[in-house]
Amino acid sequence: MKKIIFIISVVVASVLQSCEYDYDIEKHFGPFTPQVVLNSLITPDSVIKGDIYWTKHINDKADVRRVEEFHAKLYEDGEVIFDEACSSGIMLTDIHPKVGASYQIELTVPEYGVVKASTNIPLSTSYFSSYEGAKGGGDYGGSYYSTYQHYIIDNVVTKQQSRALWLRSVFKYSDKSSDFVYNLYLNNPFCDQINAVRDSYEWADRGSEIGHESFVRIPYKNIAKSLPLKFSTTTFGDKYDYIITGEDEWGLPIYERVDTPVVSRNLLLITPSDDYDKYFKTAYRQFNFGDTGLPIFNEIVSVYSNVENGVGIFAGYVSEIHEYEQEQTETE
Amino acid sequence: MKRINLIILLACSSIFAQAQQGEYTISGYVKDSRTAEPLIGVAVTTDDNRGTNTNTYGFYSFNTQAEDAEITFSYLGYDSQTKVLELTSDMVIDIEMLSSTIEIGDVVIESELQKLAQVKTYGSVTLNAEQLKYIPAFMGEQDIFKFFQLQPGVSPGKEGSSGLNLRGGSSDQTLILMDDIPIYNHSHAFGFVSIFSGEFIKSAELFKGYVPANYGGRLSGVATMNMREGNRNEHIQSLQLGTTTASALFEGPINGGKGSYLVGGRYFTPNLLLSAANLFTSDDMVKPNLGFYDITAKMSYDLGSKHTIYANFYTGRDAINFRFEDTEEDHNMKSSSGLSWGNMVGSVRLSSKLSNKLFMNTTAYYSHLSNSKISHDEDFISNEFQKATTKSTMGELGLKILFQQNVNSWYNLSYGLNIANQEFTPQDITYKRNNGNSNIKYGDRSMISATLFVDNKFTFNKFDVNLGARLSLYNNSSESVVVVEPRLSVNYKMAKSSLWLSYVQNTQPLFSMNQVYYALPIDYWIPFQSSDELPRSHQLALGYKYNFDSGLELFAEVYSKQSRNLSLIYNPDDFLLGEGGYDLATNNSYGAEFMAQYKKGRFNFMGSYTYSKSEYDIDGRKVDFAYDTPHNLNLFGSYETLRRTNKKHTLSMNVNYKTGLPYIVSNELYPSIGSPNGWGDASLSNNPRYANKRLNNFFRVDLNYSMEKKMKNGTRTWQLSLLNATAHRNPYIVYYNESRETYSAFCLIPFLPSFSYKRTF
Repeated sequence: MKKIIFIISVVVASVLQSCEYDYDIEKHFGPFTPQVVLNSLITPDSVIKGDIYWTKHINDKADVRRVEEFHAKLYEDGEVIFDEACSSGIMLTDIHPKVGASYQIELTVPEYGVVKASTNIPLSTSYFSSYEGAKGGGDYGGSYYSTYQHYIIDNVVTKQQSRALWLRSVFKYSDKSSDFVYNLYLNNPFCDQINAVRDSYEWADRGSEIGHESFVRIPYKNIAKSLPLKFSTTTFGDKYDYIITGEDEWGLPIYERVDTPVVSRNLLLITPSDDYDKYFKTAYRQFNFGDTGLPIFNEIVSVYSNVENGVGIFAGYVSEIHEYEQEQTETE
Repeated sequence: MKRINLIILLACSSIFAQAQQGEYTISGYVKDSRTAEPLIGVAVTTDDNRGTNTNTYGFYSFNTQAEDAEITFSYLGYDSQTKVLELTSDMVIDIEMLSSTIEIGDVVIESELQKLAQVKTYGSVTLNAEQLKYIPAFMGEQDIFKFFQLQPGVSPGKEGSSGLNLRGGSSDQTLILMDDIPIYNHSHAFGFVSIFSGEFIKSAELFKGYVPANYGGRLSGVATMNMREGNRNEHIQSLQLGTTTASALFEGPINGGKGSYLVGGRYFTPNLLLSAANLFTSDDMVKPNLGFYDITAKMSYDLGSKHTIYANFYTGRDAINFRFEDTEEDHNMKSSSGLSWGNMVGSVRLSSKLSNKLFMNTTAYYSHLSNSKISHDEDFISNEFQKATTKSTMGELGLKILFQQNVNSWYNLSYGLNIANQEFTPQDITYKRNNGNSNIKYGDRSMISATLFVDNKFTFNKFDVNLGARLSLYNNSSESVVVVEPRLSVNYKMAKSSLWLSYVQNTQPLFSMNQVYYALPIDYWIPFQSSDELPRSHQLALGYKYNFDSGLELFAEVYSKQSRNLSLIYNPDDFLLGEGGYDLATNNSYGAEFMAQYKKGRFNFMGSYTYSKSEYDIDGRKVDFAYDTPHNLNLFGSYETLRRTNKKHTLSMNVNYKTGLPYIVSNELYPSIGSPNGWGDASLSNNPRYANKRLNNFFRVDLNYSMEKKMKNGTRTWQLSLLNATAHRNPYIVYYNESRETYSAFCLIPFLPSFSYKRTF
């Protein structure tokens, strides 16, 4: 009997051994040679700006390096509109791109070569949206809250065919320096979105089976069928911040908890160039499925790039923004 | 025009061919003595080197000029039989053959152990189900596709997969047939288990070189699965429980043996445990289910002595779904979501012996593949209802008529036609919300195909020559294209060896795409986009076979294959919308395959080695085929450790060593513009579109121990299997491990024991 138990133990232990092990990949690669990264999204609401970096080795824990010196040339419909030496990895112009125009960028990087990319600014899409109100919410651990807001989009008017429309939700906090992109929930099969829950109210209960998406992509051919598009948003947010109100007898700071209310909520309907659409669609897929936590489900996704002799993206888009005031009564 | 003339010439050749005077026709049926089922591919040979093989219905017919003929019937796994005949006229000889491993009463027929597979010339291999039980079980399943993967020139693709990638072609370039019905998704569990249970298969044949003209429509080859009809002598029940599936099989005679029935099914065992666990979880917990089932049914019935009618049915489905209910005071709702996919096929066949020299088979069939993703929500307080369904389907309705004619002692002919209508709906999206209902279909197309085929077999002294062609018309709803696919093989027979040369052209009017959910692919199919982009291939092969007196058989074959107009789809959405999303490529493959078989006493061995190369040419850029494996060594051996009157134990082992698969991996990161998730900045991995590196070489040893025992009524069989017995770590995927700050590999099968228990009564 002992022998059988021993054999069973060995078998079980073997079965349970880790399926994951260190893998020497470096032997398959030669010396690492960084490439130039061009990241630039251009839209008529902002001046044209580009961030220029070097790619880095995956084991390099340092911050990504910017390209220190380079020369940038920008064309609008074939005409040069910017031609200057740039530094510190930033190309900054005072030019607002025009709707319907095409743009080409050329970067000359010493001891590297010329990096090129081109894109266009599509015609904008107008839409009508309405706020349907809140439906519950949740308070998690006393310091986080979630809110569930419901919207309907209708009457989308497109001026030109683009591959798709993108919808994002951005929340602005009164005391935060940056905006937050929030998750969107819907169960509309005409949209590229995998939450597949009717609204955000359900996600908390069904959280174990759904992903959290921060966009809705509506393929152009599906726009008419997808309307009226009902969706909701939610996120975890800091319910409280702590501010220093004085010192105690030990000289240590005294913190006071204060609410951090959202002050506004913006809905952005983005009309993308093909480059914008391909880039974010593939980048989203790499983010979500490249590392799922269960290696067997990891997908190897190649992210779209329109940058010649480099990587990154140079893409135009236009957006129409609807702003909503934040209700203060939505948290429990 | 020259090619069409060739077809007409070939088709008319039978008119001019006449039986020669002084020849006798010997014909008949060959059946299994125990079950009375027809045996397929039985070699029927005479002492003057004439002969043929039984067809799919166990029928044979050949001519000889000899007046005294010694005819030998031999079949893999069965005892050979020899008949001595004095011929004065045509003769009908029906034969019943004994399985060399079955039991009769209390006596075991102890014959010489049979070879595992019959490797024919022209790059084809045949095996019958009897041999299946000795191959290592994968998760408790005896899978014929896993056996095919042991053959040289066959690559499974990823570890554990049921893919049949033949000579550098992708899996969708292999036509899979179940009793002449095309199957469009041949696997369960995302490819890990094939839909063909070993219990239902009578015989199988794989063509990777010369493909007979009655098969076509794929670039690389054909795998035909002939299903059992059922026992015509007695009612038999069989139950099997394994690590992966539980199955049941019922078979028996109809109307005193004039016909037979067979019906059985499989169910994914782990889902039984999952379903039981769901019963004990609270209502507000998510209840998952996953698994598959399949049901196979077949019936045969003799309509007189010359006609037999067959009816086939198969349905199988995989599913993953989640259910959720919330019935608290303030909310009352339920929802479910899931994926499912599967085949449903059916056919009616009539086989007719029109004369001792002419056999006809007519098959009307329907094959349907569907995949669906469903999400359903219902709120009983707000009375809101939503149901979203995304489906992709394809269906094929077809008719195939095949004539096989024994014209004279040097000429055999088979010819016929195949017409089919195929309907494709790659994306069918329906959204129901309360009372509203919307629907969109993407890329739905239909295709009509009509093919005339003819295969001529000439026997001149030591030469066997096959000359065949297919004349096909394909209409994909927008345009028609006519193609001619000639094929030729020449076999020179010597005393102990044979040398052959084959050439074949193929076209493929449809191909598969994948929907990918968390790296798990689900197939769907679409027709060719334009006549300019109709995929075509041609293959040239040269082979040699030698039989030693000791029982050792050696095979060698070299081949060169080119496939043009291959669509490498990297963005299915764009492709369906006609907005690109694919690269048009040419594939060039070549290789040398070697194989040895040896049997002596209780020992059986089969070994193969393949050197091959398969790469795509995309506008001048060379890219390795995803499953290109330049070196592939397979060694398989089995030994009967115990052979008694009522017991037999067999130990078998398979060793596989091969070059690692091409793989996409990057060591380069770059910053994104924000994060698509909105959770701050992030880095992107600069992954190329096609493989840029190779995984480490693959090595695996599998063991199987089979214990068969005769019981008072029926038999019982235990199968114990151990996959990757040496616990070699074969990388399945490679990825960067953030927590360990290094690359990690995931090993799919670190060490996998499994079992199955089968009881027949």
